[in-house]
Amino acid sequence: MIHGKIKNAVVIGAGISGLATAKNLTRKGISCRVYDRNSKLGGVWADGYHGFGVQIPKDLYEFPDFPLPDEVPHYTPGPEFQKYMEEYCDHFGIRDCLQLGTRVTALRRSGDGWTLEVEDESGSNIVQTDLVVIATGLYSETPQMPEIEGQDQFQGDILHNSQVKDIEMLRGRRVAVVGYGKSAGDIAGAAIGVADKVYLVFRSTHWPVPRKLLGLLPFKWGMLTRLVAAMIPPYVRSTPVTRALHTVGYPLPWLFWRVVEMLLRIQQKLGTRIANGDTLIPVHPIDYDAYSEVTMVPRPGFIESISAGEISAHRSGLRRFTENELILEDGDTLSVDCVVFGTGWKTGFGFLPKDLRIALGEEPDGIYLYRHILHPDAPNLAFVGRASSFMSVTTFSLQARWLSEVVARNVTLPSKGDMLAAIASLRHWKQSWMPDGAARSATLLLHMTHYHDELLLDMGADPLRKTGILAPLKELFVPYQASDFRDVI
Amino acid sequence: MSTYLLIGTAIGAVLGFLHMLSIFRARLGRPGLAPIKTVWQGIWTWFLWTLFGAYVLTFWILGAVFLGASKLLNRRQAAP
Ligand SMILES: Cc1cc2nc3c(=O)[nH]c(=O)nc-3n(C[C@H](O)[C@H](O)[C@H](O)COP(=O)(O)OP(=O)(O)OC[C@H]3O[C@@H](n4cnc5c(N)ncnc54)[C@H](O)[C@@H]3O)c2cc1C
Repeated sequence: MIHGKIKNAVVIGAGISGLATAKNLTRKGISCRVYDRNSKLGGVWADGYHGFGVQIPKDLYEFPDFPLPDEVPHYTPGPEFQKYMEEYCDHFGIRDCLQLGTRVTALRRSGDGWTLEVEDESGSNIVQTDLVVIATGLYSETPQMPEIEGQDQFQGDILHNSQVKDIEMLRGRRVAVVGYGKSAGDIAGAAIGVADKVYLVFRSTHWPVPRKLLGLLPFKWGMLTRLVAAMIPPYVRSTPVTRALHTVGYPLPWLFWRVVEMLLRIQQKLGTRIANGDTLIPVHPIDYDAYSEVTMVPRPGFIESISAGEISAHRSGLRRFTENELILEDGDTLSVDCVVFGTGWKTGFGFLPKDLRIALGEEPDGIYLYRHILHPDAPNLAFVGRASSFMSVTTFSLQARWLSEVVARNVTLPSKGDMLAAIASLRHWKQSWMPDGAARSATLLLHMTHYHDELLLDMGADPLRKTGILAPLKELFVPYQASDFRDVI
Repeated sequence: MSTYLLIGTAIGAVLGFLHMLSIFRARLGRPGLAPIKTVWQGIWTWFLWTLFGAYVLTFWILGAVFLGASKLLNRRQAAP
């Protein structure tokens, strides 16, 4: 909900979402300030663990209106992506909006707008603004570190993967990496040959998405087309055709996903025997598991390192630490002197007052919003970046554009009642089938195509982005990439 | 075999026609969406369903058989 005429805005966060928002709002003549507690712009790309980088090809992960340079590798390393974001700022003239090294500590309503408390080196300041856009991301609040019995007496190091800036930190050590997501896999893989011994400990496994299906076809062709989007569980506002496909036609999507599972099992050697005769085969079907918060496109050679014994994999929870051991729930004892938790991040909005969180209906799985952006009970407050997708840069750029069109009154919002009903049905839909998790309210992943379609339709743009005489064929079989959205961003 | 192909194609044609109508219903008359594109999309949709109707039918039958078998197996495994 947007009240009154918006002349200025504060954007919290200078990651992809914050920068895309600043670019779109300034184009509508709105004066923007972008605060980030980090001294460097880029959000998760400002700084990361050893060898961090984008897990999908660059044509999927770039600003649609500002392509990555040709010389950037196909899978963009983190530092290069950060540099590219600096260039984005200069290209669109938004550098002057940035106030880095400034943390937003509190937010209060004042009239139609907001009062913020911000803190920098020089101290605390009060700032007034018409509109606040929260672009603080899903992965940068605080590291998620489980509390394990006996960790005080452990004499080695207990780290979060984000602290492993240089893999040399692990040289000659006996390391246990905990987790089964991208960061855990990256650290464990990088530690081979550096550490004396590498263990990977995880409670459950997830279906890994290989960079190339069957070693030939880039994964986007098998995962990110409209044909595949029709096979996933129907979207909250699905078409009659999708509904029919998932009722009478259900054997078709069912068979499709079982074939995909079979191919992944073979290609990724998921039957590989690990400690205690376990395997890497996930418990849940892929069309459910794909919505968990762990999405992994493993680095080439990751599974091979497990089968070759270079990484000793244990499928178990953690029971306790002793002085120099990690004892697992399955009874195994790992003699280690360093434990790295690749267990993700906590999301949170520490600066939001309690009454506002209540108004936003915050739940253990997050905040549910209209179009993942607005809440009618929190006027002149917007969220950009609360929508996890495989093409986040495109998704967040579309959100930022949508928001700027709403602010400029080019997109008309439905009534408050209709927005609340849309939020309620989104919540009910997700909670009825998606795996539980702290960011479930923001999960879109394979549903991103349907979400993009809605934003585009709201803006009066055609969701069918492919062009040419064979466009209908391309719509079905050719994956979308950032460049398909160039003229609507 | 040819009768099966014919049946599959006929089913595909009917489903494709319905799919085409649903595309027209969702898109025609909506601001920002070019009618020509909508019609072209609809016709192609109908054509593809008709062309691949027999294959879709085959996959549907295979899926139904395996899905039934897997449900039966799961029920047996779950039984005490
Ligand atoms: C290693 C890694 C690989 C990834 N690979 C992919 C991929 O392949 N594809 C994909 O789609 N996504 C990927 N992601 C997800 C990635 O997080 C998003 O794509 C995207 O970068 C998030 O951008 P953002 O701007 O929303 O949030 P962030 O990048 O998290 O930025 C949020 C910013 O807000 C700032 N902030 C937070 N609180 C405050 C406050 N109170 N005051 C001031 N500033 C504040 C933070 O300092 C941070 O700079 C990956 C993430 C990681 C970590």
